[in-house]
Amino acid sequence: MKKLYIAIFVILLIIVLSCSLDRTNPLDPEVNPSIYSPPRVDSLWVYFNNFKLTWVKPYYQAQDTTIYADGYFIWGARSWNTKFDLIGNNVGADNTIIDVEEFYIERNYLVFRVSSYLVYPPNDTLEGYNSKAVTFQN
Amino acid sequence: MIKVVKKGLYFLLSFCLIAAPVLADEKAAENQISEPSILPIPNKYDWNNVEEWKEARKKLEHKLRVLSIYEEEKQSKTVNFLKSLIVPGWGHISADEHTRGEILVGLEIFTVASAIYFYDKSSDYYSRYKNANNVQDISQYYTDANTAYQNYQALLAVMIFIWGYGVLDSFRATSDYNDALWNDLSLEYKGATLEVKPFKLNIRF
Repeated sequence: MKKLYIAIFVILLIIVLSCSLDRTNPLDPEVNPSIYSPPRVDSLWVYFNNFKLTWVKPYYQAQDTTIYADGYFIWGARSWNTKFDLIGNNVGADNTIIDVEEFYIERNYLVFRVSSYLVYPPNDTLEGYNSKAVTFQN
Repeated sequence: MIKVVKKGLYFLLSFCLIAAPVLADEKAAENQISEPSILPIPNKYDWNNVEEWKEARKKLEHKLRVLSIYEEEKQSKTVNFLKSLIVPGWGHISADEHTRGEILVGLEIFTVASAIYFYDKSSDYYSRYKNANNVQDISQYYTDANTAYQNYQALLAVMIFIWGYGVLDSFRATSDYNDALWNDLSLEYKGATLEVKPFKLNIRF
């Protein structure tokens, strides 16, 4: 009888653990082949002398097409451990520079990071992975 | 001469009439069947003489008395099965297996509460996943939702198992209860005079 109970329990566990949730988000690149993940911004710098935040235009090769970003979100924080706020939106793949002087002086933002995004019709924006956070250097 | 022959015939006839039963008894004595061998083995009614018959009769009456009380007090397997079906452990508690019943109820409450907690958590993460428009959030929320969902499923399996075990084990618990009841009644009413009155049961020792 004990063996029967154990067998029933194991079968139940196998059945229920084999179930998983469906990936239903239309912007999920894991299940939607027409959705590409935005390229990750890897290299970025911000300098004290000119208060410019710059980064290298990211891209990657996906099958027959090269994926470039449709734009970039710029995030700022007052320290390394505080929450990042959206402070800017650079539209266009080649728009890889932003003046952060105003954010530094008026709002005390010291730490920045950038994430690229892709726009999917009609109005969906898929944001990519965040870059590493950087602060001013001379 | 004829008289002598006649006398001889009479004598022979008389001898045969007298001697035949004696010889027959001797013959029977040679093939004598012992008394126990003609009794059925094993003895169907468990008695061999009047004293044993009286004793067996007394036992039977006692069993009949106990049986009438047992029939009133015994528990139904179906009722306990239904109780366990509604609330796991209820059948056990009814069958006087309080500890096991309470453990089953406790485990069931714990697993149900945990399952609800994880289901709620999973639903929350899944809702965030469906509305997310960030690759990192999409990946993270889906992983969190799925982990919580699998915990919920595992707890659901444990809950179903405990419930099923409780329902099936209620049969055993009821059988044990009825067996114990029979033994207790047999001992309790042994030698006692039983009076059954309307709406009341009196025992005199």
